[in-house]
Amino acid sequence: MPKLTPKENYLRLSRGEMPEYIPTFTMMTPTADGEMVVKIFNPNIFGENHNGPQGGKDIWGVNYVANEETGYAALPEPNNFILGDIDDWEKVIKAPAMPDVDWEAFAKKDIENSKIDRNRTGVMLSAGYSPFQQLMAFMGFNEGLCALYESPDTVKDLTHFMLDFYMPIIEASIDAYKPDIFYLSDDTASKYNPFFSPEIYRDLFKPVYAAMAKPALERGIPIQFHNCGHCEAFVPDMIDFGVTYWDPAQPMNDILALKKQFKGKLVVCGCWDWMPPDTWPEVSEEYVRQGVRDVIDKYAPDGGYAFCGAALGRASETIIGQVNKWVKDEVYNYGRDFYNK
Amino acid sequence: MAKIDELKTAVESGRAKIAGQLAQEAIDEGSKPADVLSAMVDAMGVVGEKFSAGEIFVPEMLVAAKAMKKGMEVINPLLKGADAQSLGKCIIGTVKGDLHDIGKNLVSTMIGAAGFDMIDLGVDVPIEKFKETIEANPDVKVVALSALLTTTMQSMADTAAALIPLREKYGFKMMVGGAPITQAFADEIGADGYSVDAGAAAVLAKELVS
Repeated sequence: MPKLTPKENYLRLSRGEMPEYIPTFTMMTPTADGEMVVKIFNPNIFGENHNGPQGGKDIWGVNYVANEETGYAALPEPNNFILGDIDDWEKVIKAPAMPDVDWEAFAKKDIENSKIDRNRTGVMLSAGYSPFQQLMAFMGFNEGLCALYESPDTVKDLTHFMLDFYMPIIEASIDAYKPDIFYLSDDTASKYNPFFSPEIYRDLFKPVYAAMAKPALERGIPIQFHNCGHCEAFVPDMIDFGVTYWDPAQPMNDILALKKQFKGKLVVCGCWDWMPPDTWPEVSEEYVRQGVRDVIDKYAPDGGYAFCGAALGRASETIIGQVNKWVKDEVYNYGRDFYNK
Repeated sequence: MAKIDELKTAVESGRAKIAGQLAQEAIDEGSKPADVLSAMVDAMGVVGEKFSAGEIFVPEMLVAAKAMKKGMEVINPLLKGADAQSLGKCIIGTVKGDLHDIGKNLVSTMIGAAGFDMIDLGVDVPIEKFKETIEANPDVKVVALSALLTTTMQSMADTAAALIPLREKYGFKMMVGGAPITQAFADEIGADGYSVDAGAAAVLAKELVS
């Protein structure tokens, strides 16, 4: 019987220690035993929710849409971008009025409403600002990516304007929530390549991430970074500005090489991608379970690893739900005694 | 260095602000409009190869296409007859149910830069929209389908199946791409070609019509 709670087990990784069993970082849903290593908090002080199935505008005026095929995850409405020319950002991008927030009361209520037991489930506080994704949301990928290359100084002006807006929120929320992990997120890569060069990453985005990470690091709080896709070229810089946990660490990256290079400093969460079989939507339970075991066998033996991943699909597809039940169950049962064999 | 060579370098390096001027100077220097066009298409071919090799990234490819567009604004009015003929029409769209446009836009940019006249139907395109557009453009050479989600692969398969009778009628080629798409899937649904990225897509489109 494990002695460590899911939270304690997961936090061991941040100190470079071996976990007692395979931790599972689930972004939102509980594991097979109904527990979560952490609960993610996004302090919604502006009272908006554009990320739901209904879509809507974010606080900067970007319109989001969702449909069944994305599992009702919202994305900026195509061809309806609010910023056509980066040089116009000061005319277009206006900071919303900052609400008067009693942060202590807000955090207390938010955590109470989540009904988590903080001894068993950690508090993961989200930074709330993803500079690359936000720029793409403003401009679309074509114009946004051109701006990175053609007008880097103007992009910096915009990202730092927004950083100045978010930093007081970040500092106040860290003090109020007292998180166990601080969470940064920015998807900067596609399946095959980063969207831009490491030089652009270091020049335009790394300073923003570093500034957001700093208040947490100064308080001894570890950093987790969400970055999908083939982004291994950025991982050394992530380590440099204080990241410990990286999710979802997808297998198109050379994860074993990164684990070796940053042993004791980097925790890879994931390493598993849902690959529907050729027979899809017919899928065998054993196919799913074996895939999970293969990933754990490959990436977990020397620690520095947490499982993370779920099959994504249409909300109406019941087989997706079944696949995810098998995944969670296999991670739980196979991972429970993995380090005691 | 001759102005036409300077233009080629400018397109390769994405210097849109000077590409138009260099195109005009190349013409003034005596280069034929068709040769200026050919130089820019070659430059974009180099850009596509570098992108596929991982030597450059999407922004560099996009600014190169932007530079070529500036050059084209200068030489388009000068191209006549055979010189003005493009590689043909290419209808492109992201299939029904899929709202993603980045991959489709990049492919559209690169195929356009390779010399095709693009008809971009956008995202979440119903089968009927593809069929109507093909019927309205019976001289179309390439139809390109994009899907970014595993959940919309079936939509791509359905679209391809619906377009196969029109392909037999009009003789166009059908190419597919997107993050979850593989060569095996492309073969399974009857596509004529699959490319892994935007640079390779431009090469493929040219091969399909050659």
